[in-house]
Amino acid sequence: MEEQLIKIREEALKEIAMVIDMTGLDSLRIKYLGRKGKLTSLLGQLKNLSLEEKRKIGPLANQIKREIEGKLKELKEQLKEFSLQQLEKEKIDINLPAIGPQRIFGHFHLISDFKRRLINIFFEMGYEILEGPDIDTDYYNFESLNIPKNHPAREAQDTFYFDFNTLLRTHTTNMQAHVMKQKKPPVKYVVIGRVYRRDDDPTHSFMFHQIDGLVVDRNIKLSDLKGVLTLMIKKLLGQEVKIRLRSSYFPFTEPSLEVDISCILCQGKGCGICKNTGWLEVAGAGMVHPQVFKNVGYNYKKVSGLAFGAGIERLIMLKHRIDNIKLFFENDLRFLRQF
Amino acid sequence: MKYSFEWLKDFVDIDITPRELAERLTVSTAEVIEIKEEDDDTILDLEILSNRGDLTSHFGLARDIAALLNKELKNIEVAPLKLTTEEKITVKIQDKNLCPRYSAVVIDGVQIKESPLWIKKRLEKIGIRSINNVVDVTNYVMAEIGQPLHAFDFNKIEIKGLQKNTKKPQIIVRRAENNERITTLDGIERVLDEEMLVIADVEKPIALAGVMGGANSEVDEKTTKIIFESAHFNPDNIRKTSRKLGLRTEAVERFEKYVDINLTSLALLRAIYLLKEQCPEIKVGELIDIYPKKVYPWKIRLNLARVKDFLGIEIASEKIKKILESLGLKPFDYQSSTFDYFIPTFRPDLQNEQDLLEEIIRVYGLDKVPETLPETKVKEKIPKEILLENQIKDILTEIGFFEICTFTLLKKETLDNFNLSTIDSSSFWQIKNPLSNRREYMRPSIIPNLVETLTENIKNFALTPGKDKVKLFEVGKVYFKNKKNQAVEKYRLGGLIFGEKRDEGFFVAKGIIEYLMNKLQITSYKLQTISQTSYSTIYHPFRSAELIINGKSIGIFGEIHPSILQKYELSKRVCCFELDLDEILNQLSVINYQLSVPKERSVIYKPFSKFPPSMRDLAIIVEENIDNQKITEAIIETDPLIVDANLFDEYRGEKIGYGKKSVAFHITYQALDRTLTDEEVNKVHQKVIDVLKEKFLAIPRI
Repeated sequence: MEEQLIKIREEALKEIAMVIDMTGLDSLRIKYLGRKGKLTSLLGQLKNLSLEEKRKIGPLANQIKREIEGKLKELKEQLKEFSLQQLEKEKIDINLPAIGPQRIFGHFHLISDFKRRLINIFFEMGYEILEGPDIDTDYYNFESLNIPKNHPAREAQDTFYFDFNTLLRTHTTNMQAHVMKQKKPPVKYVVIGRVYRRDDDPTHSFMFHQIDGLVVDRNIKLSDLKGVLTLMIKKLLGQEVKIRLRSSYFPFTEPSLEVDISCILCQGKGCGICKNTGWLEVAGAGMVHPQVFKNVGYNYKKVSGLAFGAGIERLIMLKHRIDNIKLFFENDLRFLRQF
Repeated sequence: MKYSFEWLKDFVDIDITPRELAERLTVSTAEVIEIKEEDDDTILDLEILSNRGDLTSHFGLARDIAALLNKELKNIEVAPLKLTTEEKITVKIQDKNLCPRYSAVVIDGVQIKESPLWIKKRLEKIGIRSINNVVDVTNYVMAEIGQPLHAFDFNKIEIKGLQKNTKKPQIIVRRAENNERITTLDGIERVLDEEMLVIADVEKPIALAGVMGGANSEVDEKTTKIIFESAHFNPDNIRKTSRKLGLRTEAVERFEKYVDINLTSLALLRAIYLLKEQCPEIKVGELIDIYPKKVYPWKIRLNLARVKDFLGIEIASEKIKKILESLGLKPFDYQSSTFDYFIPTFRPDLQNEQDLLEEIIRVYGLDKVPETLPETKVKEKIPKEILLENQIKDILTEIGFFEICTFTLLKKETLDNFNLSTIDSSSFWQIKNPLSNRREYMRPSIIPNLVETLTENIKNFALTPGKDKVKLFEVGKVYFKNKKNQAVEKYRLGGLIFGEKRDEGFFVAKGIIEYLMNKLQITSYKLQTISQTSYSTIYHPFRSAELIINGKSIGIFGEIHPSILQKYELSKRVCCFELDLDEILNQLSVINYQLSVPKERSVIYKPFSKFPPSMRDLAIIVEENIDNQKITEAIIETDPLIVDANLFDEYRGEKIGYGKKSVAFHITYQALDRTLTDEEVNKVHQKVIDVLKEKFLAIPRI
């Protein structure tokens, strides 16, 4: 009996310490001191004891009962003081400016962020990652790529020249001959870097970024090109995006293709951005032209190659609905902060 | 280039709608950029690829359509030539490279009048103005079969000396003389140079070859005798002349893409046939044809096994035959594993087997190509410089830096501002043909970009000096020439710190350098006063230091020279640092860094204003239980000119009254397109007060 009393006391005190509101308090009172409460029923058994035992346990039982009653009363006072109504008087506005440590996270530039995604996608697929030189020669930028002297792209109005032979690369495709002249097949790389065009109007920037990929091996197929493009675009812009290949012309590929995606804004239904066609042009691609292989000393009868290139800003603009390419290079904090 | 759907149907039965046709063409032949319904016709505007001159006519496009739709291509109607007049001319080609073929015919007894309605309509629908029956016939034939024609007034051509006896005018195809002049049909006098080709009589140029006729030989209402010219000109030369003169014509659009050299006589026959329909009484002279170096079809062999190997799709050999033959290729040997073809001269773009594979797949359907991945394996690591670059970006963005991306081309005045042009500008790369924005020097340092980014942000009200702090960085290349005049591109890290207390900036920069070294696990570095060899005009001479690793100079950091700040009207001090990442790489034995992939973010860009904002404060008394967030939202929703509202004070007390509170907001007014006037702001501000009164029974405090 004595042991039981001590156990109930410990149990009750422990539970009282955990009570946080009136409801909890009431249920505890009932549990221990109610008509069928634990303590009440134990006390009820006192009358069955011998006188000697009564004398010994009686005071202890009363002491415990008083103690629990006291604790519950104390708790009740406390709960009154910290009641919701009371606490509400101290309500603060959580929207007031924070004090203390300033926000320490800065921002990656969007282009940098996107470059990282690209590196990751292609590194996982086993591509070499390159950047290549911005300042290059006519040979690598044009001649080696089967762009004849009289090709419109060669004219000075599209290219920045330092002298008759040295220029700013107009595309990252300049790396094709650099790499292929240096190593034997197989070749598998992407270049990500800056390119320059003599073009500066509201929709063009004279400097922007491109990604350019090349895979050369025995039996590289057009279907491989389609597979790589689809994978890249879906990983960058979402699995739901559809891809369309369109016949085109570049001097360094044959066949040459434009790569369209279903319009991200209207899901291909037709809107202002896709000029009601449902499609947006995002990349150029093709199978390496035999002349390019001849130029770098590869046997075009033994190897074939896939190549593709895309403007990075264009892809980012589609992804984040950015309407002006100039924003990337103005570096306005109100722009940078958004991403 | 514009095409009439009904006109195309002259040559091929099209059993799909114009819109369906446009979709097929866009994917396989040429992009259709506009579809326009007109009368009972549909006009398609196509972007013809520069290597597909054969498509620059209704007949040529119809050939591709016939292949795509698996239909027959119909013929062009002409009549055999019957000589009815002795009139002729002599033709002398002085430059056979620029004009490899010249055909012409004299026609007498012409009556100049309006064209029949059907010709006028067809021409006008595709954007060619109707002039008279003769000119319209030349344009009609051009649009129909692709050969540009020109008509001269025979009697306006100078005849001199010996020619007078024979009455045979001589046409001379020659290069222009420098500064020779011709007034073209549009009435503009053009100054020519010796790169340009002209058609001339013995006296003067009478046409700008392949571009536009001359006013002096124009066919007019009095004309009775004409010369039809049908020639072939060098495409590159035509394009250059057109560009130099800023003169683009329908003829240029075709000649610059290559017109089949074997088309000139057919075009003349067609023109005569059409003119005769309107003027049956005309007399036709002998057809002159100067064509010294004939061009013949060439052979290409297709190995059937290559189809599957190269395209990754199986195509039945019967289907392949059908496709190539319908494109006009002439088979001369079909074997079980190889097909041999003669390539028609209108397809100079077809030169090798791979070109044939392209033809097969674009007609068969690019959409039918399956998706596979190359099995090629190369063992590669991510290059060290890319790892270091990204590691640094991680480190700096984690301590509040904004990464920027700027132009690598600088203006001369920027170099001047940073006292860079005086040092060694011969080692800088200078563009010979800069744009009007005058950015012409490849940057030798990233610091100018950082400082100009800062000043632009201040100018555009993104940053307030004396109030805001900012830290910027860029990782990128700088460019120099070595002694052999070769390009040297070096990776640098440039950083900028702005808004720190005047005497603390340097130490903040120092802290960042130390933090960076620590994170890169470089322990053996020193920060010391700048040595003579590293002296930089960019920095404050007594508030800058040099970073040395193992005795190597890695870069400088410190305050920007006050004289530079003055040029940029910066009243507060700016601190920068610039480190040579190639050198840091040399010092690092290993890079303990794994490229992390940024989290997927689908942030939609929100436009912002570059015009100065106006601020107003507003304090109101409302019932205590009204949510401040609701009030903020109500303020912002009041008007589009309100870009932000921030609660900055809240007060309860006896003055306000029991159960009430006073709340105060900073309200920012700004327009995307202009600076707001006080009047405008006051008006909207009053609107806010009215709205809050109505919604929350607010009482403004004064």
